[in-house]
Amino acid sequence: MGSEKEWNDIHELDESSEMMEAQAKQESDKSLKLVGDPSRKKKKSNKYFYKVANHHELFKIGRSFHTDYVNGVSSFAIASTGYQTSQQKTILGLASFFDHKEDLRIGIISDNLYDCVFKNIVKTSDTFEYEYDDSGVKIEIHNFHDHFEFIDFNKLIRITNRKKVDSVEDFIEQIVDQYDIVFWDVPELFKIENDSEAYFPYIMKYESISIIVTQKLSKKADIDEIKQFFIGYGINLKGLLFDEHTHQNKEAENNPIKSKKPWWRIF
Amino acid sequence: MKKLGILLDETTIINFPHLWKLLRRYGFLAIIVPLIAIGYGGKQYIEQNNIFMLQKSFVYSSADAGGGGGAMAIMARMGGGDEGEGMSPGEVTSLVQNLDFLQSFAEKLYVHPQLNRMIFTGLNGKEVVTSRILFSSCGESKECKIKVLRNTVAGFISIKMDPALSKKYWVEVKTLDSFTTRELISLVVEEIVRTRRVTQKRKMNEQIKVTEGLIEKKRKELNGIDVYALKQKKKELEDELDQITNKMNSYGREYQNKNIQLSYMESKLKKTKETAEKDINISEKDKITKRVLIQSRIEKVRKDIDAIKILSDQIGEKDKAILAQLEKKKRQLETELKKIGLGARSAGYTMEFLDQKDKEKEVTEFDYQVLSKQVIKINREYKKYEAMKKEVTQEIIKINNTFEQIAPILESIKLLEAKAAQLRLVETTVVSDLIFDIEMGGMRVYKKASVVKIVLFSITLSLFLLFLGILLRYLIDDRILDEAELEKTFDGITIIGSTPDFD
Repeated sequence: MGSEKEWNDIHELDESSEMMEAQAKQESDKSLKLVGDPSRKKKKSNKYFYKVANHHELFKIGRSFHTDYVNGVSSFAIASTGYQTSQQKTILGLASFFDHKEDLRIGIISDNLYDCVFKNIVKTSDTFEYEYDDSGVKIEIHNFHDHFEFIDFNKLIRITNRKKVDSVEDFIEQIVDQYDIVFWDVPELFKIENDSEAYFPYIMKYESISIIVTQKLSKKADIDEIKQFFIGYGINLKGLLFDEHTHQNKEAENNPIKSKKPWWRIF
Repeated sequence: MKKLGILLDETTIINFPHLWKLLRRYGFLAIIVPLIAIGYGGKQYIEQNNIFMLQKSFVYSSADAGGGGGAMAIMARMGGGDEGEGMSPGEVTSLVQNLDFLQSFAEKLYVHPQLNRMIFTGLNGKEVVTSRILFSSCGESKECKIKVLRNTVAGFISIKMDPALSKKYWVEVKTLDSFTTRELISLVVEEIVRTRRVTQKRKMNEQIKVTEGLIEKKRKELNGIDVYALKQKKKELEDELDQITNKMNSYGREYQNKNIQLSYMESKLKKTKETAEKDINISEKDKITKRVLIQSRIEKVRKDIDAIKILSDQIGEKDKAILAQLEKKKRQLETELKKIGLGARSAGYTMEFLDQKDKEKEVTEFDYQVLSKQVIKINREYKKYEAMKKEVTQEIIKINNTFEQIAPILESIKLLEAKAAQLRLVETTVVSDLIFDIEMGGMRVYKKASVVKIVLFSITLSLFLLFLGILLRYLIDDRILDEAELEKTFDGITIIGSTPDFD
């Protein structure tokens, strides 16, 4: 995680950043482009909500997440053992559920916006730029008809990696606080582990994590690895989601690590 | 172990639905394993040797069946023990496994002219084994060759019980060559019959020996008593007793008669003496004399009257006058007699009687003396015979007691001797109690494991291997199969639900 000095530095930064935050908030209000106006007109119904094939299950898991939201959890991370499609579908489903249930500002942060399920949605979304604290740091936000907004996780990582912002936590917090509820499309574990320093601040924003287990594909060891990784960071494991739809999992096939099958797998 | 827990079920032990899921999951295994098992089974079947079998049936005729062995069984029963029930089915079926039988059979087979043509490959063997190959390790040793042959043929011959009929059996010869099978079965049948006959004769001999031994033992228990002599003696004594009894009877009768006579004689003598001593008065005597005289006259006149009547055919006047005179005289005499009275008559008789008795007195006394002496003698003789009878009777009783004491031994000896005699008779006429049919069934060619068995074996093997394979595959496969497995695997973690899917 870093040395003690760094922790102390961060704490000091926190204190000072709080004061600055108040100022920044005022200013950002000015610089912020309209994302959503509380008094905005009633948005159109979310077609994706009705496209769900298994409504029953969606309601079941939606209720569970909603209960957590009501209890104060607003940042939900969805992870899996490398099946991004499943993650994105789940996020989309949950976001649709929340969107249908309440008029909330829903943010979806994913490192795979231009692939898989989100691709078509992002294509049809309105894109605008969000400038952080008048620092010149801009982030593209894709607004899907005022239902939910997509943010590219990779871009966020790049920004924080390149130290374009003074306070990473502040930056992240500002991003996240825009929304009533944030869904994190967790990247694959190996990516996180390869650049844990960069991902760490974002991981700290996860208030709960749910792991998707894909039928006949996910291995117990992989799930345990993910579970142990995030529990190690103190992230609350909400539970497991079961993906029982057979997939042609291109991510797994393309993944050099994932594609390595033992020889006896032919049996 | 969680994975194994998923495979198990509380009620059916194995979680069959889950197993079925695994089967569908590992379809490759589900196809390959049965194919391998069937292939293996097929290979085993094809590689099997063709077995040539001939069977011949025979009946074991015990006492129940009432055959030639009936007398044998009776004799055996008299001996007691297990033999009393004949051979058990186990004993019959193990006849051809008996070492003695195999040895004698091997000896017979060794000198068979067609021995070199026979094949002695074991039923599971692959290479052809002729007699030359069989004896290759024995050199010139005949005993070794016979021993090798004995050990080899033991596996070809067997006896089986008929499943439907009791007492009926089948002798089977199975080899990998039809010629060998045919030759062996005829030899086996002959040898079984011969061996059985010899065995039975031997049994008889042993039984006879045992019986004779028992007889000897029983005889010794008699302690030197000559039963025959004793019987003779008893017969003689009984004859003697009969004679004595007869004599006693006749003496007894004689004694009785004489006694009666003696008593009569005694009375007579006494009376005679009394009468002889008795006397009557003179007037009575005159009267008696006169009466006697008148009576004689009367008698005379009567006779004259009768004579005239008889001698004259016609009674003339003269004869009538004579008759009248005679009649008149007779009447006069009768009147005179009447005047004398009856007493006279009785006195006359009395006098006559007394005179007679007086004369008889000496004779009567003599007779009496003689008779009494006879009686005494008869009595003495009777008593003598009585004493003799008593002696003889006691002797007979003694002999009877002796017989009573030795009666059980004698009875045993009698029975044993009867048994021994019968056994000797049966021994000379012993025949085998195993009666073979004349005809034999045809040669049957088959493989040791039938197609059905192979198929069943293949199915069983494939099921077992499949189960094992799936189990192993499942244990090393740590992927999650379904929600149930997910729950079991991650026990304690909430399963929120299924992920949404979009149309």
